[in-house]
Amino acid sequence: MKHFLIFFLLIASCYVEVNGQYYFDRTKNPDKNTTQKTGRDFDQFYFLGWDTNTPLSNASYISQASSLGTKLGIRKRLNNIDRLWAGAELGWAVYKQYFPSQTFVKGTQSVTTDLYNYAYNYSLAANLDYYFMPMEKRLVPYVGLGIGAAYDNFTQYYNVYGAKTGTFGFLARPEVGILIGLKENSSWRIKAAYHFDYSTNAANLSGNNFIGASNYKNFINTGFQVGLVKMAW
Amino acid sequence: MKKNQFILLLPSLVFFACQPKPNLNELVKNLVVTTDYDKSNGFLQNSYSTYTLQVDTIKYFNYSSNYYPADTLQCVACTGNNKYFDNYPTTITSEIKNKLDAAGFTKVGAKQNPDLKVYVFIIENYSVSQSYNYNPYGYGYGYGYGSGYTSISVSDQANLYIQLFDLKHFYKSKPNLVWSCNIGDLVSSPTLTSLTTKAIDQAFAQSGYIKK
Repeated sequence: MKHFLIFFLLIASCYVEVNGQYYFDRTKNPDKNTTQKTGRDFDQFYFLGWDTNTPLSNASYISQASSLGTKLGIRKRLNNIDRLWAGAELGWAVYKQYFPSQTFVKGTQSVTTDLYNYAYNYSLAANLDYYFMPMEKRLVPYVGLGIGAAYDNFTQYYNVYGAKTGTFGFLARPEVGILIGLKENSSWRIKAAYHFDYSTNAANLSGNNFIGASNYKNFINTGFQVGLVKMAW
Repeated sequence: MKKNQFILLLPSLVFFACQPKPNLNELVKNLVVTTDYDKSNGFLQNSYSTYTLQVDTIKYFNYSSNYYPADTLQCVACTGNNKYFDNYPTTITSEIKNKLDAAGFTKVGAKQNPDLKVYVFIIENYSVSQSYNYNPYGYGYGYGYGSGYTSISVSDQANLYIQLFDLKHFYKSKPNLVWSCNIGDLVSSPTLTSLTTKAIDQAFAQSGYIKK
């Protein structure tokens, strides 16, 4: 609990620092090299995106692309340059694949079944984005990096039976994308982004159940998300 | 947070709370067939030629209810609670007989000194581990949940067991279990008789060592 309080205070102080710098630049030093705003001065935005993903690793478990995914995130402008934005995002994705009936053999045992392999993926990342254009432009391309944690729940379903294994791992997610507004300095925008996810999640699936499973190492996938962005200030 | 932000937040919470699963009708369209055999004292070491099988009758153990019959014999010629499965006992015991006959074995009476005894029974309502450990003279049970563990949660489940005992070679003064087969789940099966017949065929197909 003590460590958590210290960590929380550190985060809170950083937040105050960021806001303090922002208001300092805007109100006390108008001559500084600040971006001239023509309308509302958005300094944060929220987004909800539909995420499609393709697994690149452990294809024997699941190789099919999945369109079951979302990302919810927030970004806040870091400083007066208007290019660096930091924030966080939650990710959710479900991968699934059906395997027709086959016989699995281990030692003297044989099991014949068809099965559904599922991977439920949850992620939480801290993000830093660099936008190549001022935020009031209609098209604002960016690159970003997310660092955080991912949790994978690997579940196999066959008939009424099942087996599952959960695993945490470190997540790194570089991303490139664009914000598209219907007009200049639009408050609602479309976000389109391509991301590459690498996580250290590993699971010994064969240790629990030898039916069509093996060791799962490093959950790697690429994804494309399209979402709705709400700018705010 | 303003109203507009809630517009984004609320649907996302729905997504994150969601854990889609396969459609149950798709899941139960095939039965799971598990077989195991005794590697050191069974078909690989011994030669068998005859077997005994109680045709038209199976044992039924139910651990749950007051509604369903408890521990009974089920047969076509029976009445009341002993006819709960209708023609099912006849169908599956006939299929087992067909498979053993096709493998070269001869069915004889129980008092005609058979080499093998075929034991067929159904157990309903219990939790079973997914390890499928070889466990002579019984069945495994257990329950696990959480990260790193196999987990099962079945409220009503029934499995058909077929076991072959060696009546010539004893293990600790008991007939040795040389082959076992577990077929499930019977409760969820939409077409029980045809799927069970298909599963019995598969059980013998994946047990090529069962031959005279």
